[in-house]
Amino acid sequence: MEIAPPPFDLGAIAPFLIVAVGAMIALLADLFIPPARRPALGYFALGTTLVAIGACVWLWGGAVPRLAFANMIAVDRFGLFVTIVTLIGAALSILLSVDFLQEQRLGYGEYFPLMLFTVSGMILLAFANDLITFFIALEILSLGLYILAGSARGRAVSQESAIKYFLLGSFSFGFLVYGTSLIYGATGTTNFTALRVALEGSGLTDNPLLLAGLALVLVGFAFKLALAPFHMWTPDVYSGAPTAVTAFMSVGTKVATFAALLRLVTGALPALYADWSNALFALAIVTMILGNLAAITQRNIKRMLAYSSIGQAGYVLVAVVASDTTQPGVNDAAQSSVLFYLLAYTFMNLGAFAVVVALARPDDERLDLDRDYAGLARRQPLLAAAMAVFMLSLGGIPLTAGFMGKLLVFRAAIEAGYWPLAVVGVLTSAVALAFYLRVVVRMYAGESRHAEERPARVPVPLAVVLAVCLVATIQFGILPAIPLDAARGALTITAP
Amino acid sequence: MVDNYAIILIMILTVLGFGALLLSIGVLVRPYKPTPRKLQSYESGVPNIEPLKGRYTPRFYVIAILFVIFDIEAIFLFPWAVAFDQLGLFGLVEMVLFIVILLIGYAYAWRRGALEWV
Amino acid sequence: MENWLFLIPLMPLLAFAFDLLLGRRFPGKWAHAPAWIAMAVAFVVSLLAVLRVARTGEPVSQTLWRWMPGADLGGFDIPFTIFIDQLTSVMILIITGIGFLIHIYSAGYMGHDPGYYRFFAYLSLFVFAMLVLVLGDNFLVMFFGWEGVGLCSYLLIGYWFDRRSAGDAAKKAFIVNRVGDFGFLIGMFLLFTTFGTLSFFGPEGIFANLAGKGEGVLTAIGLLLFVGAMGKSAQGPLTVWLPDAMEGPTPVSALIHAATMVTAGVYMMVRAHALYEAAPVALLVVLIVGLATCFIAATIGLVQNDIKRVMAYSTVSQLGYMVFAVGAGAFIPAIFHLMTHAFFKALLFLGAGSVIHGMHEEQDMRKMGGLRRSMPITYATLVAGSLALAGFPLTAGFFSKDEILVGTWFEGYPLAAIVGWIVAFMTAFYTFRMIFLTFHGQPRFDPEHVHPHESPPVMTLPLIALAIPSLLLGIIVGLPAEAGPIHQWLGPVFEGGGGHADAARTMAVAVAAAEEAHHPPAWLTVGGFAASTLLSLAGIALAWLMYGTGRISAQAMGRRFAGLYALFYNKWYLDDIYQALIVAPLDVLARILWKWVDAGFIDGIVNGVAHLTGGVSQQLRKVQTGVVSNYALAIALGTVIIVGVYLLLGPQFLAR
Repeated sequence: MEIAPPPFDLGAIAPFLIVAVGAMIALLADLFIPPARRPALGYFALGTTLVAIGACVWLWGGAVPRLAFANMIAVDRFGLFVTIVTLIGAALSILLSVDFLQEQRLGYGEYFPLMLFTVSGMILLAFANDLITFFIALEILSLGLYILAGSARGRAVSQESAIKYFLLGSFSFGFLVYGTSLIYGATGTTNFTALRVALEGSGLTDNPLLLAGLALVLVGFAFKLALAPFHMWTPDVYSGAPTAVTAFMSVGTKVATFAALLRLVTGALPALYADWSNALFALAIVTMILGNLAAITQRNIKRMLAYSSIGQAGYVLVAVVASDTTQPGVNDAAQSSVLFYLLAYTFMNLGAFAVVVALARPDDERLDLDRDYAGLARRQPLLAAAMAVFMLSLGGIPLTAGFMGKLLVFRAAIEAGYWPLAVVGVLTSAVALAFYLRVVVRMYAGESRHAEERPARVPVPLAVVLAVCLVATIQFGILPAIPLDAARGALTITAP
Repeated sequence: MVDNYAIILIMILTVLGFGALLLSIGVLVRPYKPTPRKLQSYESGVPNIEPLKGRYTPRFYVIAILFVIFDIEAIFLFPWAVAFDQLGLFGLVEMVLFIVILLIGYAYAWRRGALEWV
Repeated sequence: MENWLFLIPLMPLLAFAFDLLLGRRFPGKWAHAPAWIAMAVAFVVSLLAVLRVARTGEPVSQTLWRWMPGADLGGFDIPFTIFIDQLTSVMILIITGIGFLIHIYSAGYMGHDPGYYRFFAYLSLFVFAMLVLVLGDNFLVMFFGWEGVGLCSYLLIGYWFDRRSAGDAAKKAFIVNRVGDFGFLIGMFLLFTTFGTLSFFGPEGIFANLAGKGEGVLTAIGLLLFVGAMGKSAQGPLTVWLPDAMEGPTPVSALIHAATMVTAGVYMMVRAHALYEAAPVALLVVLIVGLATCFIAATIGLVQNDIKRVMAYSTVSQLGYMVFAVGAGAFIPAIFHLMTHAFFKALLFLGAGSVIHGMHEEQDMRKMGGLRRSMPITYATLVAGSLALAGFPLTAGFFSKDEILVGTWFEGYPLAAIVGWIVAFMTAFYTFRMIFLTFHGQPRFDPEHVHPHESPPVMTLPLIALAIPSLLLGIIVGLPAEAGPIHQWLGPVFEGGGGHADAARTMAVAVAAAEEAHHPPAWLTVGGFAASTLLSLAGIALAWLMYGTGRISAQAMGRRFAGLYALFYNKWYLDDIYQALIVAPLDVLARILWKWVDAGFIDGIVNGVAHLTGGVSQQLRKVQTGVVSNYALAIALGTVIIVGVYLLLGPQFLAR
């Protein structure tokens, strides 16, 4: 047997390599530097993500799209866009963590190396052009997150969060692997490009093996994206994990996984459009309704944001459903709205979590909406104003990024003929305003319970995060042209 | 096709039959004087019913995990070694990278004291 | 040059941000500095841009960004473009030039105000919004500025928010403007549905595609836009806010409520002249409303005692001139008058401010008198401004007003021109009534407590700077009549349907062609000159007889025409009519809506929905048990459902 090794195209996976190598260096450095110097690792990790962003920009202008490593990796602008968004989210999360860990006495441990490993998984996910690559990437990403969720070793909720996430994650990945094997059984390949070729014009599309495999793979996605009814882990995990980790989890994972989903369904399975779009249609409706309704009664800000992130995933899913490759115009609008929404979501959600982080005290994380957020505007007007902007944006009020995102998503749905999705989306957005605006009302109209204490000093890195998120949230709302142009330029999924 | 399954069936029947035969010989031949200790099922000399308070040190798991990792590394090395000539330089570089990555983990575990049994 | 145009609106915006964010602490007493610098830079850049326009005869423009180009929202792609042609040139020079002078003046006038930085922040924001209004090359950007100036007007009228009257006046201005803005907005919607764009120019723009559109829809658009113009320029039924707006600080009255913002309506209609020319009915309405406003405001101005209110009504009246000139199709005279009026009315307001300043915040002319000795510079400059306003021969106001009247006659509305001359007579009368009451005769204030004094140079210098153009601008740009430099300058705007389509044609040729086709006969020009001169002098003379020498008793006149006096003094009962016809019924309606419809019906629905969603949410909480195996069960059930549906029902089980 002749074995032909694939060409050694390291440049194609430069962002991934940079982050992975950075993670290993950080891991080793962690062993040899004194504990007092640990925050430096955070800045090293930050630098790594920034270099990786640079590599993405370099690749953006270079020879893309191309396939690498025996077609298991597809380097295209779509993946690069998502990678950049992920890396921005990671960079902001790292900045968020530096002081938070110290303040909460969580210990740095392997925090930053783990974060970088997780990011490398996300990047691989964005480029995965094969079910095997995809699965490995998802595992890299998840393993890191399991440990990060439990990184507050002294706290029972953190442990609970980690173990729940791990158990349910392994459980649902079982479905994913099983689905992958069924698809392989039906088509004889796991490669996205090959799958598309195999399914085009073949009689395979009604094959029960294939359909069952698709269903099981979708279940795996639904778990990772926290789509109802696979969302039950989310509130517990999000509220138990340290806030900085939750912030990271809620944006990076969603962004990368949505990218992988979009790449799989539109890049590999366009022939099965009717099938997956119907399943996702149902999931989107259930997710939007359940996520937003359940958020109303939450008093813990982290649980509320967890449910909110479920609802937000529902809105992105609406645009995924509308990604019908047989109608290029509609497909472009839908996919660019997915990318835009993910970008906007990254900034507004991270911003909201940044405010939560800023309020946390060593003895008390200050998570209760009624107790800790009431009257915030009087004690810390700038923080309250920032939070108000993020809440309004998440709620989809005009002149914010969230509004533009929702506008584009619903418009794509209507153009594709899915007006029920748009109707449910608008109605649930109205419901969602109830809990987003409640935070604003509490902050501006409530009586402060902590009036006597001095306002918390906002550390510089955190202030940077807040400023970046604030500017982006408002700028994307008023002048969406720049990110929209980029998103439109990033619509080339997979190479021939 | 059917022949193959028939062989398997014969195999299963033979195994079951042989086991049953041996056990019945034992029952017929051995003396039968039960004591409570004798009635316990045998588990490598360890008492098999114990209060739940007992704990294992996690070091067992750490060692086990390390063992599995290097076991798998070895398994991965065998086919590589067999195809070494055909893989050439590419294979060598890949394997070196693979081992280096493992070594980083190993160094980490070592430095963190995972190998010290105290 | 094109690449630096963005500085014109940006500089005031920066000054605004700087003063608002840091003003209280850092510049403090120097809060005017950033605003001054910003205005100076904006003026210089504007001047350079205008010189460029003058040299090439071509408009300059810079596209800053496009709004939502990738969103693909049905062609809703708005370029934020700065566009400067000859018409815009006039406007930006007025805004930045006069604005600069008023900024200087304000430093003196507002010097002791605790909210100094706030004042300059708002003033800079206003200049920014006004520049956006005139610089935009489509209706949406114009509307952005339109709303922005409305907001700033509200903020500045209510600047002394601890005074109840100021707060009320601010609200009145805002609400009345909202009525107008609503019309403007609807007009914009109609424009977009009719033309599929909001851009003025270019082959896709509105003005190039007027042909073939129904006259009905164009008339509707023209009238709706005119509703907006009525709000901003205080015309017709929407005049009521402007006199009350005098509650704001005097520099604000000068800049916003005399020189710039209130002319926005005129500017908008002139900008959209091609549209209006295609809708003669709308133009006729504009003419009638403008003329009526012009006349009514002048009559009210005859009997006012508050020095600023006289100015306010005179402003409304003068705006009426511009509006009916537009209505008659005399666009260039309208802009000419807009320009001269900006100078002399700003001067008059600033002068009045100087008087008020020197009189310790006294505004009632009956409590002044004989001030010319204690305030010589203010007196001299104010007389200059008054001469211009009264249309005294060879002053700026004389030429521009005369052109409007002659132009109106020539365009076929001699009756309107005659009414205009009557108003000119009244204007001359009330203007000099003000002068004589304030500066001549015996002091009617208590010299023990009030010590009138001349204002500091920071205030008088702008007065002098404005007095010169008020006197001379007409001679410079207005001669020869109906063909002066202002006509040559603005001529290209009105050629070729306003589309600036024919770039190759030089300015001179265009003007020569325009003169051939469009020039009033000599008898009309000369007659107009004569009538204007006579009526102006007659008005001044009457004022002298009544208030200068007392030869004719004002009281006796008032008694003889008691009915008319009461009508004028009570502003034709406009406010009372509104109170009775609009405010009171609305109040009752609002109560009914609130008590029954809102509190009963709508709140019931809203609360019901809230209870429902809250209840569902409560139930959902119970599902969230926290037990991992329950969660796993949910995942397994979901899986079974999805796989089951696929396998049992087959694909395409849900209709699109």
